[in-house]
Order: sequence, then C-alpha cells, then structure tokens
Amino acid sequence: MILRAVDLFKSYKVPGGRVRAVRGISLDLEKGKTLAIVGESGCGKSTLARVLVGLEAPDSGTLEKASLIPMVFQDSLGSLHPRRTVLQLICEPLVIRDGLLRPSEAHELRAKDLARQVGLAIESLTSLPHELSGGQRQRVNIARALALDPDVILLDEPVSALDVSIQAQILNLLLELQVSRGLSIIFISHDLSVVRHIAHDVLVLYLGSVLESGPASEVLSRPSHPYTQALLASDPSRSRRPGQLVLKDEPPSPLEVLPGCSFAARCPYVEAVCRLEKPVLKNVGRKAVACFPVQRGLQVGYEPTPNLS
Amino acid sequence: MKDLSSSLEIRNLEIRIGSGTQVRSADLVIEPGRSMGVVGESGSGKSLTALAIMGLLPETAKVSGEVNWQGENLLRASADRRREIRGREIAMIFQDPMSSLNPAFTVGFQIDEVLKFRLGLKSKSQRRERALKLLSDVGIPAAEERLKAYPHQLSGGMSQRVSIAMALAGEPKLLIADEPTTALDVTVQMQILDLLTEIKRDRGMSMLFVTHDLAVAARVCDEISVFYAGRTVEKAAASDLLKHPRHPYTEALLRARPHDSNEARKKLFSIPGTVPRPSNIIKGCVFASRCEKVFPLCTERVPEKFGFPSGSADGSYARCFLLQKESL
Repeated sequence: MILRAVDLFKSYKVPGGRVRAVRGISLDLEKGKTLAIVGESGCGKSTLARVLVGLEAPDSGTLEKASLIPMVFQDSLGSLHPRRTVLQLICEPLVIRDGLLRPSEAHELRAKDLARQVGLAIESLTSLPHELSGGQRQRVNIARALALDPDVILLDEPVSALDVSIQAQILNLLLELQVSRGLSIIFISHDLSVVRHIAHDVLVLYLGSVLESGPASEVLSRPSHPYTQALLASDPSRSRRPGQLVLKDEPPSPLEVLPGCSFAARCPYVEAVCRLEKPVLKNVGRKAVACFPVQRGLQVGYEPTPNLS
Repeated sequence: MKDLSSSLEIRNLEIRIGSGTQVRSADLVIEPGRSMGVVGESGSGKSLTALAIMGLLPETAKVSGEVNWQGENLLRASADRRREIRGREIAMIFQDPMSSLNPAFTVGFQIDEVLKFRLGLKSKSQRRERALKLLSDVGIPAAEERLKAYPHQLSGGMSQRVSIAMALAGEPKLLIADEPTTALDVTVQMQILDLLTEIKRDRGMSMLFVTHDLAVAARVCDEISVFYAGRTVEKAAASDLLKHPRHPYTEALLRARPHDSNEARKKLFSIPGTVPRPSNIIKGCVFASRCEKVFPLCTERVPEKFGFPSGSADGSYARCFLLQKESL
C-alpha cells in the first residue's frame, strides 16, 4: 500500500457557518495503480486533494503515505512562474530540495532527462511558459512533479482545459509513465469517459462523502448508486434511454448538514430511513455502495448507453 | 421562393487581427427555426465568427466576406443599425454567466433594463410582469424572490438561466450561445441543454451553438459545422456527422475521445502536431500538416466544398479532396 487514508474529516469556517468539505473519507492506493476521484463542484474533491498532498491538515482521521505527493493542476499556465524558462522550472524542485539558489550542472542534466521523458523538445527548454501550448505546459508540470522521483502524483483535472486532440496525448503520456516508473496516480476529474479509460479504481463523491467505490470498469459500466447512474446519464456523449434518471435542481448547500444520506434530497428512490440515518459503504458485488435501498437489494438495472455512437 | 425572414448566411468570412488571420474562410447557413452547432478547438475561429455576427469584434479587426442577416450584409451596416439588431433580433449568451451579469445590480434591475431600452416597454408593472414570466420560462423557481437577488447569490446554473432570460427579453429571432455550459457541472449542463432545446422549439427561434464538444453540439443541434484553423471544413446533419464523419479532422476528433469500446489503459489515438498559428500562410488544406491521409494535391490547393452523398442537395459538405477522389 502506497497511500492509505482512514476516515478523513476537513471543514472550514466561513461566514454563516462551517463548510464540511470532507466528511469521513477513507481510501487505499496501491503501487502502480490509478485511483480516480469523480464528482461535481462542491463535492469536496479538491479539498480531499489538498489534504492528501499535505497542503491542509485534516481535522481528524489518519493519513499514511510512503513519500511526498506532488500535484498537477488544471491551470497549466497559472502553475508556472511566467519569467522562468522551462529548464529553470523543471530544475526548481531539485534546487529547493538541495537548498541551493540556482541549479547545479547535475540538476540541469536531470531536468533535460525529465523533459525527454515527458516528450518536450530540446528547443523548448529555453522557452517561457506563455510561448508554449497548453499541452506542452502540462508536460512541464508533469516533469516538475516527477523531478523528486515520487511514488505517487496527484493530478487535479489535468486535461480539462486542453483541446481533445491534445488530451489524448497527455493521457497517453500518463499511461506510459505509469508503466515505465511504476507510478501510482490519483486522478481527479469530472469526465467519466476519461476516467473509465485511465483509472483502475474510482471513488464517487457527493457533498464530502463517498457514495460508491470500486473497480472503474464495474462502477462506470454497472453503476449501483442512483447518483452514479445520474452522473453517467448526464454525459452528453451517451444517448438517452427513455425513463432514465435526470437530476433536477442542484446539490444542497454544504453549509447545512442534514442527518441521513447526503443525496436524499434529489434521489428518486428515497425512503424514510434515508432521511434519518447516514448510510455507510457496504460491499455490494465487487463495489462498495452507501445506499440503503441498494444494500437491501434494490436493482435499478441502469446500464449506460455506449458513448459517442 | 425561400423564406428569408430569419435566416443567417455567412460567406467567406475572413477576420484578421494584428498580423494573423484568425478566421480564414468561415461559411454558415442557418435556416429559420433551426439550430447550428459550430464545433472547433481553441483557435479555430468559432468564437470570433460569433462575435462578427454580433458586431462585437475589436475595432482593430479587419473583416471581409459577407454576414447576411435576412438578406442584409451586416458587415456594411451602420453602427446604429447594428445596435438595433443586437439584443433585439440577434442575442448572445456566453460561457461565463457571472461575468455577463453586472455584480452591482439585482437580477430584476438588469432584466428590467433590457425590457425598457430594447423592447421599449414604458409601463413599469408590465415590465415586472414580463420579467417574472421570463424567469419562470427559464425554469427559475420563486421568481419574485430572485428578482431581488444579486448575481453572486446565484449558483452557476442559476446565473446562466438568468442570462438566458435576459437574452430572450428582446424576443430575438436568433440566439447565439458561446460555450454556455462549459463552466457548468454535467448534471446542470444537461438541464441547460434541455432548456435551450425547449426554448428554441417553443419560440421557433434559430440558434447558433458554439462549443468545443461534438457530443454537446449533437445534443442540441440539427446540424453541425466543424471549424479548424479558421476554416469551415465540414458541415452535416448532427447525427450523421457523429456516425459518418467525412473530413479526416472530424474523424480524428471523434477517435481521440476515449470510447467505451477502447480497451482501458491502452494507447489512445491522438492527432500528431499542433494547430497552425494564425500567422502561418497555408496554401492548401488547413489540416494537411496533421492529416494521416494527406496526398500532394492537399498542400497545393485549397479544397473546395464537396457535397455528399455526392450530388445531394441537402447542403452537407466537406472540404477534402478525398471526397472528390471517391466520387471519380
């Protein structure tokens, strides 16, 4: 096990109350595997990421990790210093680790090797971030993340801002790096087609808790939780089935903590118990699902239609 | 005679800003009551084309070609005439609903402004009634309350609904939507796409829907035009385009998305290289430098529109010499 989190909680004080962004999340990540975290804005995925990499301390819960976890962000330009060259940017983690002011020759050699591994041309080493394309900048960010030889890297929506033709290039790069380095990856994304392609396991988050988790192929082809089903049904690349679940409204405010299941307010299968008691994750087949009706054997029988056809 | 009462026709639109040519040759025809998707990656010129229709390009832009609205070339129209059309006959909504609303005024005030100045409604009570109706038309519950709300008090989905209501206030014949759901969550995106489809149908309005996502365009549009490096490279019925892409670029776009049928974690198809810059002078086909099926003619001459199925009159076409080859 390369990373293990047990029962993490994190809340923030805001005007008008506390936002309970992460409410009891546990996860395991094995060497060489990819764990995807999916959910909509406000589900706590970015807070969870900040806790996992150590940018925030959890309020409670335990976190065991083998090494530091570098992070790659969605905004490839905003994460790079605008006045540094690509070579300087890739050297930066090494320079900081060694407590130096400028890169040594060994650093530059290592940076050039990293640039090659992520598919950056030698000519681009002297470029400034604004001279690069979005895809090239994301390659620089990945090279920086790999500079200190981590076991795990965390990527927060790394391809969401990229054009489709470039997305595929970056996803291919991540898959190659995973195989060649035995890298473990935490991949945060709202794009279920991408997640299905790249991830081994998936956590589906809603208002700070995990509603469903398990192997990506299971969770995304035979979703059990009504929310996972609704998410898949909202994927515009899938044609609609008559009578399938369409979510109304938007998630409730994370400021109000109601007893019971966090999805109860929007769930078509809601029962009295769902509003009183919070369901915990229980194994249903090869997945873990936090839903009373599903745990009791409710079969909604939803299967997503194939995408883009 | 064809009824031209609400159709838009763009021919050979070229837009140059600074030293680059951002739009090389855009062509679009939208019939009354129909919706057209304009799909392309960043730098394809899709948004500039939309802004050219609205007359909202920067003053330094050099524009040539034709943008015909009901038979009138808007590129020749006076600033006053364009202002008359803007918001009244053609309205537009944008990707970021928060920045298209003024943070300092209530939703009610901003809708009222449109009704007063664009529609010229004098009576205050009439305007209020109309504003309430608009908000309920776009699916905003408790409309009375919402009129008093400031933009920051609304969620992303709600503020996009408000900006749709404002766009509809002038009762436009054509609505231009530029990536209206890109900033929204998928479940909310679906709600807004459904809303736009419904509004278009109920009002018999035409729609131009600009997006980078082919699947989203196919959801709301009757037809799709694919833009690449400032040129329209293919146009077809939405369902047909997804099933049978004719232009190698459209095909590549579809192949580069992960499909359920792909084996997980296997290498995805990716388009080599990058989009040509606006400053590049391209003699032949704009996609030739990245195309798998390129042959010598592609780099020599700009491919004209080849209709398909060959000789068909429904106006589907691709700018690709392969189609010419096939029909020989």
